[in-house]
Amino acid sequence: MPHYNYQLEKDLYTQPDIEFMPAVEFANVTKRFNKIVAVENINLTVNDGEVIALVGPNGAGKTTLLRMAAGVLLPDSGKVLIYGIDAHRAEAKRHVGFMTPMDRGVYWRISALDNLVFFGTLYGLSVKEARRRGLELLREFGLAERANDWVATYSTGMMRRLELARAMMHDPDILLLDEPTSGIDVDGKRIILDHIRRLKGRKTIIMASHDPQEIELADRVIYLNRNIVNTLPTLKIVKVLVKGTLPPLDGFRITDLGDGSYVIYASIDRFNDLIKKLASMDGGLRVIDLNVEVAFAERNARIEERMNRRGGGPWV
Amino acid sequence: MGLAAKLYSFVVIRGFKVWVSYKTQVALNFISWTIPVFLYYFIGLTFGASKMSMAIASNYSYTAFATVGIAFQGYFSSAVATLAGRIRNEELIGTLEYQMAAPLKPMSLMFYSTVWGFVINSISTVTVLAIGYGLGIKYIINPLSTFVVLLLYMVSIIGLNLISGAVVLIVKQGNPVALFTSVATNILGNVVFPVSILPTWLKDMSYALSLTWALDGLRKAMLSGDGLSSMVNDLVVLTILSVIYIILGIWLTNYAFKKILEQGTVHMY
Repeated sequence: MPHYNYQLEKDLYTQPDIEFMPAVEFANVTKRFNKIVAVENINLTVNDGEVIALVGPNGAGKTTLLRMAAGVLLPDSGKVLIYGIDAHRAEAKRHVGFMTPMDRGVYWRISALDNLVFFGTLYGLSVKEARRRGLELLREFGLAERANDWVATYSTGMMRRLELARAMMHDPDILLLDEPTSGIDVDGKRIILDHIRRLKGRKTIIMASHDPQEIELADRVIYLNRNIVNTLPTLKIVKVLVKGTLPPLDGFRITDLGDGSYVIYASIDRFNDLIKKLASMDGGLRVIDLNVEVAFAERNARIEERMNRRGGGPWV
Repeated sequence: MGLAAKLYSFVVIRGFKVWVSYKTQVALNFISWTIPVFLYYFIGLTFGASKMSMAIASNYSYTAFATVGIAFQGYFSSAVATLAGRIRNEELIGTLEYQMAAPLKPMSLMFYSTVWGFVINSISTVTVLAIGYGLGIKYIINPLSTFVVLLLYMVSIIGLNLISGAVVLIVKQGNPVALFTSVATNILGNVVFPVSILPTWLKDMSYALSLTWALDGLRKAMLSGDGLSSMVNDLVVLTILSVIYIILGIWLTNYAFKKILEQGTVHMY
């Protein structure tokens, strides 16, 4: 019978040098690319086990934040910390799995398994461990039958699954996922989303996303446009710009912009409901932007009035 | 454990498996290694053995002189081009960003990326030396001298690799170091003709290359069986050049990695 280590438990709670660090911390982070400000004065703390969705328009700085947390980009000022360690240090990188939205980043002329073994060993796995772990992940992502095929023969969806498997090879505590299901079919998307769902609570996940089904998985949605505007639960009105085929959405005000895109308005208490509804619609619907209005009651009234008068938001 | 696994990954998976996936390239590689040996063998025959041997002022044939030159010149030219090409490829494929996201220090990443260049050039060296043997070259090898010269030569090559890799990290396309080492060394590097016939200003440039001294030492060690005492001059200069290349290489590599992390160009090509 396994015995319970009371001393260990006591140590955990009483030793002053044991601190529970945030998993990821951005402290006054600014990054410019020449004269273009990518992100400015970002302060964000992500707790262990939390799932965060970073939303905002293209160019808002979502990928820049992820790259800094992955340690492949240095901030101009401020600090990016992984469990209290500078993100670009090797000790921090061990905790992090990283995936960007491109069909690049894997070797096409070797097998999927060889790719996973290669990247697994970079994180200190032995070849044998990497092979075992690689096969396990390929099975989990529905790629086991094609494990020994060249990646060049993979579809986009298969490649995205392989890229996520690669990010998971060293069983990282933190996953940084940049649009993890972009450009893939319904089945592939379901496999990835199911996997992320299973990881909830066990891993810290930061996702940059435009996809309602991805956003739905988040514990917190952060709206970003160069600097963090706010965390959504403190806001009153959310305007979601979507593009694609939009079935009737009862109870939400919708403005048709005429080019296949729509603005949907939701009060914050119905935001999750809206995201759930959008997430349930398979197919080509994409969240292009997610805009928020600051939560002062009197200002809200003005916004409502203006919206009623004009019948639209900043996109019309 | 970690070292062996990483070497396996970089050499067998990333190097060998990708290399053999381009079958035509493999065949062309072997052809490109062997043709120069025959070329200089027939040049030697054309101009006559005695005249050529006078030029190199040694007791071995011109074919032997050129074969050793061609065999070991590969490390200098193509090993450097291989690393620069490798980094360039990683940038194009998009894998460099993931390699840098791994807990590898810049120097380690460069080191592991370099190893395949050494492996492929060792295959080339053995092939060329074997062809030379088939053409009648008698090797009189002093193992200790050969080992010491090769060791110093390899250190200098690692330094050059670092310099070349660092340059390609920053400039992305168009690497002057790789171009210089792959093209100019044929003229300046004591490869197929002796440095003594060069004009003084070219001779001075030639003396700045570790290849010049390494080939001089290797010919003595492999064709005449000379001991270390007869190649002190080569060893001293080779050591000095290796140290200079290594220091410059480490400094440039650290600078290049810092630069691309600051500029955010890791994922760019």
